[in-house]
Amino acid sequence: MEVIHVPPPSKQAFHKGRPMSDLIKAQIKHFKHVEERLSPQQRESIPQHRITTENEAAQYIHAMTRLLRSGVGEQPAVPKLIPISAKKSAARTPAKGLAIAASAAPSKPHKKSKSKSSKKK
Amino acid sequence: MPDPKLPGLKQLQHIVVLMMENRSFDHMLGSLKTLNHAVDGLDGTETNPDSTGVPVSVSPTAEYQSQLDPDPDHHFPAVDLQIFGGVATAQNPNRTPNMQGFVKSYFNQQHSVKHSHLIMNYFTPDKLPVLSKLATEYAVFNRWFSSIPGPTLCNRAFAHYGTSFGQVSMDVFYWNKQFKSIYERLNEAGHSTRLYYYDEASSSLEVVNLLKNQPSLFGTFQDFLDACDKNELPEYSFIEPNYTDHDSPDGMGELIASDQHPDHDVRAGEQFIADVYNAIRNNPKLWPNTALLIVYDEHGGIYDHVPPPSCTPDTPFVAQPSATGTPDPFYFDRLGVRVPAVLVSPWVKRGSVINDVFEHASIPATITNYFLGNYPQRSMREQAANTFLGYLDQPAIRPEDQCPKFKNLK
Repeated sequence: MEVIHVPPPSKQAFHKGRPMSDLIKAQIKHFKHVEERLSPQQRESIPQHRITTENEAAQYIHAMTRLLRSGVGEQPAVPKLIPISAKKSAARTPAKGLAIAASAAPSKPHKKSKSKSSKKK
Repeated sequence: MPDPKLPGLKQLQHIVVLMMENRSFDHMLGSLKTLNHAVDGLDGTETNPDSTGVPVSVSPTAEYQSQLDPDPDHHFPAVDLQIFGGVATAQNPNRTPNMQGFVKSYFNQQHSVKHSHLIMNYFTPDKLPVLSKLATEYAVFNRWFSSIPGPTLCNRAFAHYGTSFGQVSMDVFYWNKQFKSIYERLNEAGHSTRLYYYDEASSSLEVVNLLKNQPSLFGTFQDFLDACDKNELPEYSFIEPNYTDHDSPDGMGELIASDQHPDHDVRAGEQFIADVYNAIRNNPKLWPNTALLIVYDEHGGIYDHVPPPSCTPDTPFVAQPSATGTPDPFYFDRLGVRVPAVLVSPWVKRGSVINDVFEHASIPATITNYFLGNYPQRSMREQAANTFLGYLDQPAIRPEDQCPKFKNLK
């Protein structure tokens, strides 16, 4: 069977200034949820820049991931058991300060910047 | 349970799951029906009405990038519209899953009739050489559905835990001891397992529980490649693609998103799938004893023609209307929109088309059944989910020259 050649993405495809999708916004929200529960000392290495683009998100996520991989957030492996009644209510009510995104906000299209970038695989 | 005497299962040591992002079955693989009528894909006559009532046909004109911007809505209310065509409450006897609301749903985001038609576009096999080839050379699932008619995180939770703990949104902040993740189950029983994210700047979507509490479960994609090279692949691996375009943390270049989430370039994901496949395929010590499942977490708001079926309710969980954003509560008793799923192994019959119903709870169900056997502490959905290793059913391993190889171009 012949080797199948797989085309690369276009040179214009890379756009680190792309606004974050709802997915990345949610990922950031989860990291913030974790960050807020760390001590001030533990948070010292976490950048607090404005996060609107994919690359800005990646910079924050990188710092948080490194911190968590070092074990600072690690708790005893067994989390609290949530009673059945609480589990049911959990399905209905978001945690304090955490809004449920019931629907995606319509977003406007963004202009694409033409980034001529070399891709590293 | 599959027959453990199957030669492929006797040899099986590793299971790898690669979960991509936000594409529907018809969008990616629907055109395979032209090559194999057993594939429940598109015949070209499928339509959806647009906001003016004009029928919009499916079109083989999907582009790798730029058509699905803004990102099509795939939160619960939007998917409800996509599936039920706008009949919003179960009190209405006309509410049936007719898959007639995709164009209307996309119109709601920009109010552009012309742009809303793009949600009906699909790829032809020549544009997706990796996914199409793997689907035709190994086994493609006709009925793999996302677990929830909703967004990414609640669907991915089913792949990790067999449940979303009652969540239908991106707010999966809850877990409990009763339903452990598949990784915790395996670790406690002495089995090896890893979640591989792409790099630390892309990281995992499983942040609040696993990455925070059990960081040792994780590795990078480079760690996965190294594990394959060194014959140190864990028994179960779960791979996450790169979710963002970003500068390499080591300053060595720029890394393009490979998750295929709109509006990321689909070709980067094709190359990523090829990288995962090649790492296994090109190692003769790994290839005969590894099964690879490539699956998408949800449909991303993109058209598919197959109505999702009902399923075992995930009792005791109920999402109330305040959470669903619709008039009715959701009992987790029906599945989400169909997604691409392909099972790869030299023990799979070439050109297999699988018609049984699967969902993401099938992943922990399969891994648990294979490595742990009887394990009662599982969600209702996971207990009812089909498992997929029974398709490694060939009496002999396929010859080397019958298994494709890919080379990524630069």
